[in-house]
Amino acid sequence: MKQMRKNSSLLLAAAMCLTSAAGCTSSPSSSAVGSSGPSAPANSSSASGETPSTTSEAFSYPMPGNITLTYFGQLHSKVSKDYSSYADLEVVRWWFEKTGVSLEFETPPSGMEKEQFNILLASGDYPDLLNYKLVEQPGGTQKLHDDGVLIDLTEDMQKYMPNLMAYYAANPHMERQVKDDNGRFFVIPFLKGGGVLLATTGPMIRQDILEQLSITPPETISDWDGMLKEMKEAYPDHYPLTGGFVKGNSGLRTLFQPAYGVGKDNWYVDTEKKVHFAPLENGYREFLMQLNDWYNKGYLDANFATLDQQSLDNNMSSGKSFATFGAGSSGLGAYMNANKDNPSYQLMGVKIPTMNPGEQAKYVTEYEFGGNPQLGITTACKNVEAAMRLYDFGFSEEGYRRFNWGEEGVSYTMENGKPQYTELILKNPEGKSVDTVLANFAMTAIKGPAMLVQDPEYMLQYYSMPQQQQAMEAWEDKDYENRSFPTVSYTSEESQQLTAILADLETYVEQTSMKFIIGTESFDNWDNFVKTCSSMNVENAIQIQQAAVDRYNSR
Amino acid sequence: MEQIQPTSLKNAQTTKNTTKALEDNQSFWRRLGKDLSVNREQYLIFIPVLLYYILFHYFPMYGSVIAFKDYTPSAGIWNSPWVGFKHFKSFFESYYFITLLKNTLILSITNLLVGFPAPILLALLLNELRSKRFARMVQTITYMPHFISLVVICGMLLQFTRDNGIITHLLGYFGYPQQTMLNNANTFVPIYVLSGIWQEAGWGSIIYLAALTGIDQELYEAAAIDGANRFQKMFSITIPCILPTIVIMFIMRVGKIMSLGAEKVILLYNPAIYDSADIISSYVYRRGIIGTDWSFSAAVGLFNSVVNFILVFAVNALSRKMNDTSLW
Repeated sequence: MKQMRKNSSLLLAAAMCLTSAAGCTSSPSSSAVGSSGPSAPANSSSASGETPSTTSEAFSYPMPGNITLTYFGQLHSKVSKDYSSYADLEVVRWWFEKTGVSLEFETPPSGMEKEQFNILLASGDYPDLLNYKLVEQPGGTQKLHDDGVLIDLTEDMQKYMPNLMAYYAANPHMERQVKDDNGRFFVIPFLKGGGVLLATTGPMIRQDILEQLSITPPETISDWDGMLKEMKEAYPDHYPLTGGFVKGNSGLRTLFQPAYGVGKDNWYVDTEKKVHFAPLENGYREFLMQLNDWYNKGYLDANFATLDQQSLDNNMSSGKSFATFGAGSSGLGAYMNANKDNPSYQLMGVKIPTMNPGEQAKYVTEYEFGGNPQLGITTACKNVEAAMRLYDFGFSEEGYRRFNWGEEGVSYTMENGKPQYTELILKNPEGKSVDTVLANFAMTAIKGPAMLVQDPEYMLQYYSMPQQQQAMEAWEDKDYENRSFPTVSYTSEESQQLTAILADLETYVEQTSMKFIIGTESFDNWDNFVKTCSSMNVENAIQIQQAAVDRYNSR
Repeated sequence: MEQIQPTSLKNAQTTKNTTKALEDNQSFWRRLGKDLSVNREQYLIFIPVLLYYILFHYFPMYGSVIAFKDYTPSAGIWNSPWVGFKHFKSFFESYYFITLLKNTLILSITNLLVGFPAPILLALLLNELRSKRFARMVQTITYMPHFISLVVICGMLLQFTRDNGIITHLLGYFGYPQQTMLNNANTFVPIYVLSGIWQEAGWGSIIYLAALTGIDQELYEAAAIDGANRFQKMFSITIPCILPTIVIMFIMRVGKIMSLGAEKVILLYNPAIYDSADIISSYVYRRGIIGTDWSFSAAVGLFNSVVNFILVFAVNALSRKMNDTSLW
C-alpha cells in the first residue's frame, strides 16, 4: 500500500511538471476557463471544458450539453445490499434527467472508505466531487482547501446556488455551522432538519427481561447499576451490558459519560463556553471507575475491547446481552427483525442516564450539520457551475419533496396537507424491506449522492415499528440547549499543532482508559495519567480549541 | 562456448567463464562493454529483471524525500517545503518512541528465535519418518494453514481467545484464568508468535526438505558402517549439510526483522494492549493512512528501514566471520 502511494505520488509529481510546463506555453488560454475559483492551483491550466456563459436570472433546468462529473463516495449500506450502484436508483436517474447533469460514481469497498479516501488524497488525482465526512478530516475542510483539494465555494455559490443561499438566509443557525470563521464555505452540507433527527441513537434494553425481573426502566446511573445486578443474578452466564469503547465504535462512552457531566467524547464546551478535555476531569475518572466496577462484576462484556460492530450486533440479537447503545434502524430495528419469529424478544429505548432523576443529559446532542457526509468540489472540477446547479437542486422546494418523499402518488400521498409514505414503501407487497424500497425513491435515508435537508417527519414514518417510535421519544429526552462539541475551524498553524498533539494524546487516552476499565492500570496512578497528558501538551491543545470555539461563537 | 545453452543455470556459467577470460586490469565499463557484445542474448533476458527492480524498488525510494518535507498532495513531492529533520525529531521525542522501538524489537526477536527453528525441526522430523506416505500426509496438513487468509486467521484467533473461546477453555485445564486473553498485554506476543508458527512452519519447511534431499546418501551409509545411531547421524551429517541453507535463511529473516507487517498486528490488537502490541509499522499505518500525516509516517518508515539495513549488515558480517557463509 505504501508502495502504491509512493508510486502515485511520483506520477503526480511527473504530472505536475508536465502541467506546469503546459501552463507556461499556453497561459493566455487558462484565464479563459477561470471556473474553478480564485484559489485553483496549476491544475486549472489543464482544464479544457468550456463553461457555458451564464446569465444568472434566466436559468432553468435542465442544463444543456450532457454534462458528466466524476464522484467519489461510499455506497451506503442500505443501497449496497440490493443495488450495485447509485445509478440503479430511480430517484438518482430522475435527478440526473431533471438537472441535465449526471455523475460517474466511484465507490470504495465497504469498510475501506477511510483508507481509500486518504490514499486518494495522497495521490493528488481527484474526481470532481467528494462525498465524505470532510469536516472530520484532521485539520478540517480548511486544510483540505489549503492543501489544494477543495475549492472555496463562497463566491460561486452566490451565483449558482440560489436555493441553498435562500435556505441559509432563512436558517442562519445552519449557515453558522457550515461556514468557517472568515465566512467562507468549502462544502455543501447534508443537513438534519432538527427534532427527532437528532435523536436517532440511544440506549436500548430488552423489555421482556425487564418485565420478567419486574424492573422499571432505568433513568439514573444507580438505576442502571441495580438493573445490571439483577440481570446478572438471573442470568449468570450472560453479560447484560455490551458496547465498544474506541473511536468509531464508542457506544459505552456516549451511553454513560454524559451522566458525569463530561460530554460524550474527548471534548466538550461547558455552559460558560469554556472548553474542557474530558479525560482530565474528575467526572471522567468516576465514569471509568463505574465501568471498571461493572467489568469486574461481569456486568460489562468481558470482550468489549476486542469487540467489532458485527459481534456486538450478534450479542444483542442472539440474546447474549440485554443492553447496549445503538441506532434505531441498524441497531434496535435490525435486532427486532432478526427475532421476528420470537415474539417474546422485545427491545425498548430509554433516555441517556443521568446522576439524578429528572435531569437531562448534557453536551450529548449532535448538531444538524454533524455526523453526515458533506459534498466538496475539488480543484480538478472543470465545470463548477454544473456541479453547483446539480447540488443546488436538493435545496429547492421540489428537491426537498422529491428527495425526502419520492414520487407523489407512488411512494407518498398528501394527507391533510402532509406527505405520507404509501404502502409500497412501508408494507411492500413484494416483501421488500423499507430500506430497499425507500432508497429507490428517496435519498434522505441513504445520505447521498445528493445533498439535502432531511425532513423530521420522514423519520417518524420511517421508524415504523412501535418500538422504534417509543425509543425515539425516549431518546429525545436530553438537553438540546447545551450540545456536543461543535465543528470549529482552525488556522493552518493551529491545525498543524493540534494534529501533532492529538495524534499521540488521543491514543494515550484511549489506551489508558481501557486499561483502567480492565484493571491492568490502578486508579492510584490517576495523577500519573494526568501528568502524562500534561507532558503531551494537552494544555496547548485546550488553548487552541478554546480559541476556535470563541471564534465559532462570535460567527 | 558461444553456443546458447537451454537453461539459465548454464547461461550463468557461460557468462562467468567469458568474463574470467577477459583481462582483469581493464576498467569495469570496458569489461562490461566487451561482455555485452559477447553475451548479448543473456543481457537481453536480464533486462526485464533490471527494469522491475528499477521501477518498483529503486524508483519509489525517491518518494522517501517527503520524510524531510511537509508534504501536501497539491504541491507534490518537489514543491513541498523542506523541513529537515523535523519529523524525525518529533518522532524521537514522542511519548511512544521507546515503547514502539521496544515492542518492535521484542516481537521481531521472539518471532525470530522461536519462529525460525520451527520449520527446521519439522523438516528434520519429517526426514526421519520411515513411512513416506505418512510423511507426505503430514507435510500436506502442515501446509494448509499457509493458504488461509490472514483476516480469517485473525478473526479465528480473536474468537478462540475470548473468555469463552476454545483456546482459553483448553488452557483452563492447566489453571489459566478464563479471561479474554487479548485484554492482557502479556499474552499478545505469545499469541502472535505461536499462531505464526502454526501457520507458516509447514510451508517454511519445504526449503529445508529440498536441502535434505541433496545430501549424499553415501555419507549415511559410511556412518552406519561406523556404527553411528540416528542422533549421531543427525548431528554429524544432516545438520552440517544443511547449515549453509539455514544460515542464508537466517540472514534473510534478519533482513525482515524490523519490517514486520502491520496487517496481523492491526487485526489482532486493541488500545488496551498497545503497551506490547503497538509496533512501528502499525503506528505508521495509524498516523499515515488514517491520520493523513504523510511526511511524519514516511520519516518513521525511513527510520525503520535504516535500522533494518544496519541489522542485515551486522549479521552478514558476523556470519562471514564465523562460518564463511554470507549473502555477499
